[in-house]
Amino acid sequence: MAKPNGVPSVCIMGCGRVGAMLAERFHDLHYAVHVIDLNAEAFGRLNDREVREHHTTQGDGTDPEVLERAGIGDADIFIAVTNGDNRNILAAQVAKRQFEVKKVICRIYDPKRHEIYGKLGIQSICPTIIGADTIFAAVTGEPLGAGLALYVGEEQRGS
Amino acid sequence: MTQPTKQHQYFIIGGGGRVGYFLARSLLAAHHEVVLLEKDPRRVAELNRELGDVVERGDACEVKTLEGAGAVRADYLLAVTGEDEDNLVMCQVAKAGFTRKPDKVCRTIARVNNIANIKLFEQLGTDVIVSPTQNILDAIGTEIPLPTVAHISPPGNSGDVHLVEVRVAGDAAARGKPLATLGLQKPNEVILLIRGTENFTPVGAFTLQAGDKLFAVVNDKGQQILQRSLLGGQG
Repeated sequence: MAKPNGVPSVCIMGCGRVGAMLAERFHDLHYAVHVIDLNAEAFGRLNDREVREHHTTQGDGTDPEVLERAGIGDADIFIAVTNGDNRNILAAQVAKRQFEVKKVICRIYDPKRHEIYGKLGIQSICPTIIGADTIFAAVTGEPLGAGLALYVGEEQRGS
Repeated sequence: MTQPTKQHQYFIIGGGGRVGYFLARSLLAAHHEVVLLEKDPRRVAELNRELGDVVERGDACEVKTLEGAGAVRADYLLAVTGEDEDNLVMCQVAKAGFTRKPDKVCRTIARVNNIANIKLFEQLGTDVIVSPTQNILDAIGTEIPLPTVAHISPPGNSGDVHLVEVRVAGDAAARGKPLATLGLQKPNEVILLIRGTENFTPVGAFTLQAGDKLFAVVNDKGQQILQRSLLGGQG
């Protein structure tokens, strides 16, 4: 929560496999990491004891009050990776609009919603497209075409 | 009920809970066209038995489902699931996920449970927001007789004369009656009445409403009268 001078601060919503892995990676990079999950047991996925014991908040990350408790006010980056597309979408918009977090990214499984929110200025990654493309490439031997730009929704200036 | 409303309109309702069910029933009774979208197949069967074949199984947050329900020609989308995130997303998808004729807009109405999200929903283009939580809080604000009779001048300081503030309770005896029927006699006087954003000195024929705030100069007897007739609940 407390941010040592100059160290980027990242708030991660959803402590599933992806959330936990991201938390570890950013922690290794010496970012200030904070993780939110509805279920406190999910924090067991965090290997680093310091993160697990001191940088977690149990609660619903679509609730601005919970985000505030998790220190989103100081966060430079907000990542929404719960299992619910809509929860991720709502939380991302709260982070962006209400707390004006600079970098906000969320996971959207549904390719259609991924596309729509890209147009609305919400940056997202779509594991469905990434998975299908990767498997397709592995089977056909074709290279992984257009690269990540395809999977990361264009960040446009939404009004 | 039997009289068709001025215009026949097309409503898509997202969420077949109790709110969605009663909305569908009322709109159908008013001869509107309605499709109700619900995810749970068991609930769909139940709803179809009661409403006739207007319920479709599907997730109203998905473009495909909305497309199948004819979202391009819908006049209204009513997002009334119990989950704020689902309601927000279906409104946004209904607006941004379709290309419509320029003169054809789909108005979105969303139910919002967490009052902390109301502002965001507004900013993100939901046309109408209905928050049961906020409505109930508002009702509490006008119903609870707070503070009972507040003394503005310190009691006992000016003999038998008090400047008091009273709010007319939701169950007050004097509700809907003219001010004169309170029986306030001469030195007692209501000097100011505040209703909403207006304030004025009321005449005797003025009809009192719950929520009105009165400032009055009264003696002990006058104060008892105000207490009895304006506070309700044997306050």
